[in-house]
Amino acid sequence: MKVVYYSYYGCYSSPICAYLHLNDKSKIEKEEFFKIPFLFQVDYGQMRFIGKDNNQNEVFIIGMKNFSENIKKTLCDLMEVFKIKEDIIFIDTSHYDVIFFKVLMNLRGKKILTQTIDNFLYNYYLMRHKNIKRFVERYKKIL
Amino acid sequence: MIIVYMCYGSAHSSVVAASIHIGLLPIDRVPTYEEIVSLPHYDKTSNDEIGTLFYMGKDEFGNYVYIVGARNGREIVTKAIYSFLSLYGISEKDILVVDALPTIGLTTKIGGITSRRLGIIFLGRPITVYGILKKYNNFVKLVTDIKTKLQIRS
Repeated sequence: MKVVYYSYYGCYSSPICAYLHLNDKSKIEKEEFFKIPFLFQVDYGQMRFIGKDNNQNEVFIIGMKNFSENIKKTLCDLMEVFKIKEDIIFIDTSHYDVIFFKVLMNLRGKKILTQTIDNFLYNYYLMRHKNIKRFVERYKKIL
Repeated sequence: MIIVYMCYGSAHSSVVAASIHIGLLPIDRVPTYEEIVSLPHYDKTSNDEIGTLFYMGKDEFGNYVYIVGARNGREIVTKAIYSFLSLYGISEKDILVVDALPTIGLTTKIGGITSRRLGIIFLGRPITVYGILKKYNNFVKLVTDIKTKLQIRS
């Protein structure tokens, strides 16, 4: 089975959720947080493999902007066309994304602001980490 | 091989391009109004159906031709299609996604909005056809280029 965490950008909430899916921990420490694969790496439309969970489900992330419904429909239809029988679940993590993320990413590009923005984004995660953990756990139970 | 013609709403440009590709429309002359409006899926796709893959037919090389709508996300959707299918070992040798939207002009866009978004079909549909007939050469060129590409590949 393939588990795909997706959001608008695909490089904040979705990699965090995918990381928590694969690593059973209630909170990600700061140093570890910034080592999450594909964190802050924008690449819309690219399906990115994160790893395999204990049940051998393959975990992916993708950024879909506002086209998630389109993309999911098209990919499901293509699975039928190519007779792909595997189950796939798409999990929307957009509600854990940061507002004005693009602005923050632009500011993060300025050396002088990188640390401040990184701290903000980590603290933003900390504020919601219990909810994010519960969210991921709920889906893991369904799988 | 699967060929997918993609446009905004899978109602106009992709339908015409796919129809030329499978021989429903001529390449040596501009079709009539009736020939265009009688095409399957022409100016019919609803908003909810955008993203759904529609089968149009088979071409002379045995390729299966489909149409799909991707709104303004054609680049992202195309990338998602290729990256997703590559997970199953399906490469660009097995599927070709073609953006058909650049073939149309402003007239067809205005007609499309009038017909599909505003629901004024009796007004919008003739405008879309008029726009397509005006730019028909663009469609023929697009399909010819694609077929040449396919021949080179095989």
